[in-house]
Amino acid sequence: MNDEPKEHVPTSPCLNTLGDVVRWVVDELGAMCPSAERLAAYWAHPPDPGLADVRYHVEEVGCPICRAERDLHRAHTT
Amino acid sequence: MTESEELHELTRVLADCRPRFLSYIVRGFPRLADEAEDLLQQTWLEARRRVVDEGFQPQTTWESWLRAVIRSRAIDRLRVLERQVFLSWQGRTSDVSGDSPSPEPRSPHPSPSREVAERERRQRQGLLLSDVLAEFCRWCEKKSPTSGEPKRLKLKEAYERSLHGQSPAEIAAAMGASPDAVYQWLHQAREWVRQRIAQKDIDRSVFLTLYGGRHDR
Repeated sequence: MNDEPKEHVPTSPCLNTLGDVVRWVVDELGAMCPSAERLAAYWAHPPDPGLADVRYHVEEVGCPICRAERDLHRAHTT
Repeated sequence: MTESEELHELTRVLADCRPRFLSYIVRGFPRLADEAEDLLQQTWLEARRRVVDEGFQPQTTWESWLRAVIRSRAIDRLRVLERQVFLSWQGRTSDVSGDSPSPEPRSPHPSPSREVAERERRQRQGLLLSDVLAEFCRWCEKKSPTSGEPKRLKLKEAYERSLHGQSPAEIAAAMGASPDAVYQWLHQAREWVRQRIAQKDIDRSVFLTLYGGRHDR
């Protein structure tokens, strides 16, 4: 683990319009993700009516970043 | 803990969490799946450097800290792509529109003032779309000083729904709100984003040029 990491260039998404960019930053860059505190609050108490926006983001949109965080959290606590 | 003990603990935690972290990267950032190992390496080096140079100790646990850094560095890598897209568009629109008329004569090489202006423009583009949207989310989540409750969460949800292609009528039905309320929320959200861009003075970039049109899905 002591070597300097090599520079990698990720595969570019196909972005031809601003709409494509909007979709991309929302879907892959977590631009609309809730704060870590509110996400943690949601994991702790999903039915909380004050977290409806988080519920939509996680359950309906299915944000991969937030879901991956949940899996990590679960793996840590079990 | 001594520096040596802290490094030992860091290495132990990273080894223990390695499979979980790799899975986290692959699932959370599928475009970076091929770089998952490299990302872990980068994170470990950053942590090690901070321990050695600053005597850093995480406030919570190494696992939480490492996860947060992995997330940040993954997004940093993706944002390099975002920046490249805007810069390439800027080049394209400049070629097509010729920009605004300039008193400077055309030359195969840009003048120093042009180079400075271009550099500044590119720096301003550091404010990327993801920045603005993330800032918008934090603004919506901000607690009211009086009630302690966030006031703008419906606005955030409505806007995210619109970004995912829902019509105002669909948003109203899903959120149990009136269509008028949804129109107001969406207007407020779009106006906030538009003003944020204007405040940052990137009005000559391709970003605002395109934002002048429709940016939702």
